[in-house]
Amino acid sequence: MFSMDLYGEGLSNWVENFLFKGVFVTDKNLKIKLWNRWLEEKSGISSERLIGKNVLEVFSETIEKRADKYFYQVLNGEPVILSHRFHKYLIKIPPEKDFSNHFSEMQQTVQIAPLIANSIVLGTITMIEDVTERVYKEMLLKKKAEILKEAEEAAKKERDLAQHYLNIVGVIIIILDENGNIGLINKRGCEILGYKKEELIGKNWFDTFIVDSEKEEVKRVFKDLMAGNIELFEEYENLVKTRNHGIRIIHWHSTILKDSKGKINGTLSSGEDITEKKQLEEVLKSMVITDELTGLNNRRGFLTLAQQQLKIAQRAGENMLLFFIDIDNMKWINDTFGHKMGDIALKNTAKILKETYRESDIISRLGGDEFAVLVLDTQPSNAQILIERLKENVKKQNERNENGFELSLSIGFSIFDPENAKNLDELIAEADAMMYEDKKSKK
Amino acid sequence: MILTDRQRDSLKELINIAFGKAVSSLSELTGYRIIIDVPKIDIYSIDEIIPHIEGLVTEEVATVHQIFTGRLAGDAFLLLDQNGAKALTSLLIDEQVETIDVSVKEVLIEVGNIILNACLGTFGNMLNVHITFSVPRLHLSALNDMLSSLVIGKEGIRYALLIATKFKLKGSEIGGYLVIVLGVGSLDKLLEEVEKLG
Repeated sequence: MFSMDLYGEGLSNWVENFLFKGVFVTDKNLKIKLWNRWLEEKSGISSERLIGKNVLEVFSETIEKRADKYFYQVLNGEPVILSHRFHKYLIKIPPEKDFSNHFSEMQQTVQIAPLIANSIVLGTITMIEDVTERVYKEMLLKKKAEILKEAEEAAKKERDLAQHYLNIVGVIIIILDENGNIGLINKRGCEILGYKKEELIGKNWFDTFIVDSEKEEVKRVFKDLMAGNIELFEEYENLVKTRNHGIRIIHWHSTILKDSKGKINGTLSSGEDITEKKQLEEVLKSMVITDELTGLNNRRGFLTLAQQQLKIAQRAGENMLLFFIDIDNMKWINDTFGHKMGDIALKNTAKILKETYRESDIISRLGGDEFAVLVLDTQPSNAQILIERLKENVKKQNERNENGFELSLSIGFSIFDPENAKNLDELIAEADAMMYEDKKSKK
Repeated sequence: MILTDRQRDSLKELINIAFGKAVSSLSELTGYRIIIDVPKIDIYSIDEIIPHIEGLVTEEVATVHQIFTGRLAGDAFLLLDQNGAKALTSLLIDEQVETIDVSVKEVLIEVGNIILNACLGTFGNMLNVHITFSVPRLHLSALNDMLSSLVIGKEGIRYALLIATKFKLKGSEIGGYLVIVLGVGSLDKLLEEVEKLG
């Protein structure tokens, strides 16, 4: 024992028997003077076998690990610390059973310090801490962190892919927060609106892009939507003011976004720029000559065909009759029986006209409750016969009494005489005036 | 405090020798070629040191601290900012360090111990004074807290020998400080001995 007094003896006794760390002491010649119980238990080498022996000779691995220089450094008065990261261990000791699958030796953090008394270095004292469990836990943590990192990377990849999709998709994708501010917008959206992404994020959608005439109304609807007061129109069109391309017509599909608690916190919309499509539709519409409801010619169809027939008749020297027919009390039918019944009245009239006139005649609905028929190659004297036939057919229809109201028509006509040719407008005006007289006579 | 050119040169030489020793120990330990620069040495009184330190390290610092006693007595610190400490450890153990966990702390302590031992040991040897020093400890704290811990509760006028250094390895460069805080008596003793060297 190296004790100099009772305190020293007490201390060395405690270190030797009770300290929960490995401690060994050497003299200046590195001969072991103390090998505590912890070390005896962990290493399985008893103190008796070691006392008096040189530590570097007994534990040859210390030389292999070039730890000898540390002992000499310590004898020179400089304490050293050996972390397990660089050294793993100083004294080869088997690990606790729990870790024997992971480590073949106990992982150690070691402090070697000079043992000094009266400014003289007496020897060395080495303290060994078993850090195997801690190192194992750190290893697990690191592994966990790696897995997390991998998951994060995978998630990032997915996000990137999603971003990629957002960018290549040919429609606007936009997320608005509950205040109508832009939270996300894709590349196509930026292109159509004519702004950079940085300029758009955080901008209020309604203040910036909705045309003034609709702004307040749209804002109010959005507010109600966010408050959960109304249902979302999943599909709609509106006018959007862009920076470079003027006002565009956008066709939207939208869905409500909710936070994790189920509270509405915005909308996700995809918007297709249908401006060109709409324009095309208009062009196409202008080419349509059939009235959708009745299947007769519409005004455009009538004017085109009648104009042509007028020229033909003039050249061929044929007479024609132009009838102008108007449904009586159409407003009353609509108001009393509803628009659906109004539509039936129009359809019935069309049917009656088809029954009355020849297939080759130009029968048309000019608009509203007005109809016109151009009867080709006929004598003016036939006009009255045709009117009678028409009235007869109306009567037959009313006798069937399918709809709860009586159909009544006011009729006027004009005569096309190739010798004294009037133009189409004049013919229509004349027939219209006569029809008006007829209508007036009924009141 | 202003050093004479002679004092400065002698101190520089002393530090160079010390760093040479530290470098060979570190290289042997890690297997990497490591260079430690000695660009600047100055002495400041403790209460004026902060502005001189703030340039190289910022905010949160990792400090390895060793106390030494004997005819030269004081505190020695290796001062790195925490990101620098992580970067240095990453390079030394060849593994990405995200947080300063216990194992990383131990690595820092060992590295600090090698550098501080080399310096203090060289001081002792070259000046032929016997110095004994404590086992090092690591502090992680804000720079100001660390520095004020030096100032508060210490008696007498104390000076700091400030050595700004850069660790260069694997193409990276990490700046840090070596701070050796000495009482006025010890400083006089150091300069006196240093002068003898020249």
